[in-house]
Amino acid sequence: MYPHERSLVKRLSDKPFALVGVNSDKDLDELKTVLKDENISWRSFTNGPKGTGGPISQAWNVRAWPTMYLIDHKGVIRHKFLGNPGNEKLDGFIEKLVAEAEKDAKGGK
Amino acid sequence: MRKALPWLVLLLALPAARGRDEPKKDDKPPPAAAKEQYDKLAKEYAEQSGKLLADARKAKGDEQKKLFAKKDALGKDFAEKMVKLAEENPKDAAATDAVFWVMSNSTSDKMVEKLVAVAVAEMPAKDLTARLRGIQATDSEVILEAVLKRAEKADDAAAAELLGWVSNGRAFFPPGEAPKCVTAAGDRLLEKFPDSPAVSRMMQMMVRGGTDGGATLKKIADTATSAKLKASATYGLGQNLAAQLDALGDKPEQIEKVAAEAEKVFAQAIELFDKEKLAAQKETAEKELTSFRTLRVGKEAPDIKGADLDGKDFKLTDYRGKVVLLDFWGNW
Repeated sequence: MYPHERSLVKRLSDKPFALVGVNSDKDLDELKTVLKDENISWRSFTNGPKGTGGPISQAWNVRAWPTMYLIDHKGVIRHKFLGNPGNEKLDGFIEKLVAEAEKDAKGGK
Repeated sequence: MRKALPWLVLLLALPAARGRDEPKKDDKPPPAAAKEQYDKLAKEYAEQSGKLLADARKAKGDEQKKLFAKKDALGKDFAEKMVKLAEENPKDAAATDAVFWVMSNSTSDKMVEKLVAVAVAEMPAKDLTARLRGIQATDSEVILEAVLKRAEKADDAAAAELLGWVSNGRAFFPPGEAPKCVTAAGDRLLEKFPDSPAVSRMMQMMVRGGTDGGATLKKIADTATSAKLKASATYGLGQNLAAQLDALGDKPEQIEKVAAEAEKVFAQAIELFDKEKLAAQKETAEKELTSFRTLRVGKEAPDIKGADLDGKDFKLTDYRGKVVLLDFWGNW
C-alpha cells in the first residue's frame, strides 16, 4: 500500500486532495523508523497507546484494518472501503471527487 | 476473497505450532516407522517454514515476496511427501495425521481430497471436529461432501460443528455458485441446531456475503421457529444491508433506499432482542444502528480532533475544501 499512497500524494500534490491517516501502532518510536524508511510524508492522527482499541477507531466503529473513507471537499462520506479496493478503482474514485472540488472552487462556491 | 486475508495471515503463523501439537492416536500404537516419518517431516517443515517466515517478516518488497513464494513451495514439497506417506501406509494412524497435515499446511486440498474423504467416513464425529478446528473450510467439494455425510450420521453438538464447517465453505465460491452440499449443510444446521454457536458463526459470514448472504439471512429470519435465532438473523440482515450500502459507494439514490431498509431491519432486531430479554445483544444492535446513522456513505463525516505522530494537534475539518482519503492504518 505504501508505494501507491506515495505516488497518489505526489501526483495530486497541487490538487485539492489530502491523504490523512489514523495510525494504530502502539510503539511510535518504532513507527518513526518506518515513516523514514518508507518515506511516509502524509499526516496521521495517532490512535493512542491502546492501538487498534484507541478512541478514534472506536468512535468510527472500525474493526478491520485497513479501513478507508473517501470524503469529498464538503466533508461528506462518499465511499467506505474495508481493505484496499484496488489501486485503479481507488484512483478513479478520487479523481472524480477532485474534479468536483475543482469545479466548485472555480464556481466561487 | 479479500476478506479472507486476515485468516490467511493467521494460518501462516499457526502451522508450526499445530504440526508439533498434532494429537496422536493412542488406541493402537502404529508401527513406529510411519509415525516416526510423520513426526520427522512435520518437525522439519516447522523449522524450515518458521525460519522463512521470520526472514520474510524482516524483508521488504520483492525480497519479501520471494521468501513467501519460497515458503509456499516448501509447503507443496512437504505436502507431496505427506501424501506419499499416507498412500504407503493406508491402514496406519499416521496416514490420517499426514492427510490432515496437508489440509492445514498446504494451499491445495485437492491433492488429498480422496484420502481425507476415506479418513472422514470412519472417524468419530468428535475427533473430526477437533481435526477441522483451525482449518478454514475448503474449496474441495469431495471433502465438503464427505464431512456433510459424516455429520448426517451424528446427532450431537459435534454434528452442529461439522455442518457449520461445511456451510462455511460458501466463502470459497462465487455468490450463488457453492456446491449443493454447502447449502444442504446450512439448511440442516438451522433445522436441527438453531441455537448452536455454529449457527451464529455461519450468520456472521453471511453478513459480509453481499446480496446472496442477505437473502439467506432474510430466509432464516422469516422461517426461524426459534425466537432467538429470528432476532439474531434479523440483526445479521441489518449488518448485511449496512455492508452492502458501503459497497455501493457513490450512488445516492440506491444508497438512500438501502439505508431506509437497513434502518427498518435494525429497529426490528432491537425490538426482537428486547422481547427475548437479550440485553447485551440489544445494546450491541443499538450501537451498530447509531454508528450506521452517523458513519455511512452519504453522511457528513464526524470531525476528528487529535494529535499527529509528532504530538501536534490538528483536526479532520482542517482539510475542508479538499478531498480526503482517511486511512485507518497500522504498520503490521
